[in-house]
Amino acid sequence: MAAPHVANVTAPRPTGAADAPISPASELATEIKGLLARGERDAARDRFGALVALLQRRALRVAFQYLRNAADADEVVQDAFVKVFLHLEQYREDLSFDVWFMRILVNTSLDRLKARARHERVLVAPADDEDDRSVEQVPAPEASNERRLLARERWAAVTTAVASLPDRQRLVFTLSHVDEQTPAEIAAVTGMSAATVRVHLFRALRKLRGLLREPA
Amino acid sequence: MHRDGSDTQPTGLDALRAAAHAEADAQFDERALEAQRASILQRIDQANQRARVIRFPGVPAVLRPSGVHSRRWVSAAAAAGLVIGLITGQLLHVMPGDNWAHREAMRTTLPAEAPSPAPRMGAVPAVATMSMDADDELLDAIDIAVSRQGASEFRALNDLTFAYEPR
Repeated sequence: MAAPHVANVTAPRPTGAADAPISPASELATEIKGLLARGERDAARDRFGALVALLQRRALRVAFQYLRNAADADEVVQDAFVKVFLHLEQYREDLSFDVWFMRILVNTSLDRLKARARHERVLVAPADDEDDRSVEQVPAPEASNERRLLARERWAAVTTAVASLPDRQRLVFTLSHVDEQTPAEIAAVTGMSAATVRVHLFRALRKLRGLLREPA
Repeated sequence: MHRDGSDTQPTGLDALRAAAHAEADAQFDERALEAQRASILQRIDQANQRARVIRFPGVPAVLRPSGVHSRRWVSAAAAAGLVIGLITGQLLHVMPGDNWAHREAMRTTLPAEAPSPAPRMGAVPAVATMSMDADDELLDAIDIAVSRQGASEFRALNDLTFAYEPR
């Protein structure tokens, strides 16, 4: 297995996160780390299954949105979780585990993108029928009919536009839009400054907004 | 609305976010999530296992090469050859008069009517191999030869030459 990108675990905690309540994932990670420190590896492994179940859906959403490939997203999420378990002793309890995990996930996704780029020079856009199928599966129960209709009509164009964004803009947009992370959290995940994150997010949104304003 | 309260995003993005979530969720149903969890835990179990050194499959004795035995045999043969060579060499010195060099020396000192044997390859010079007993026998043979009638023609030459007696 390649060396995981877990060296930057001392990333500063996102602004305002110091007083924030500890997330369930952070509590669970701290508990697992304690089990590993005591040599109770089987118990740690069992508890880690609960941690996976807690973050799995969110990780898959981010990975799939960023990689646009279900198989790649599946493998990247698996790799990220395995790296987390094998390097859990490096996790600092005073930091947010969600940020630490998301950082590993993003770095693993970037590695996968680089590996994929080495094999295929041209990014293949998803097939039209796949887009149609995804549009049909949009539930958006809380969204209004108008918004649902808008998403249904323009989702394919948006995903294509997101795929055409520069890497950093696409990463920032994915974390902000899909994972609903704040610029401070994205800065902690990506290692960029919060101001840089805002610039990338502004540029990405400007491009996508222009696309959304175009008549369907 | 964004989680941090930012209202810079178009409101349509909320619906798009829901669409993005739905698209990813459609790719990974509950069964896929369960399979992924099992795969992750299995990989962790494999990573926890220590690396084992697999013993190389044993080779039957019939197929095993006999290099050790052959080397021992060669060593024993070389040692035996050396011992035999030394003993033979010693015996050649212990048993004089029965070697070819001695007989060769005797032939060279015989009168001229005896035909000289043809030179043989590897013949050792007689002087180098004669022992003290062989020297006495050689001198006796010379006296006998000189006293013979056939050597009278050398007497005139002997009388003409100065008798040199080394000091």
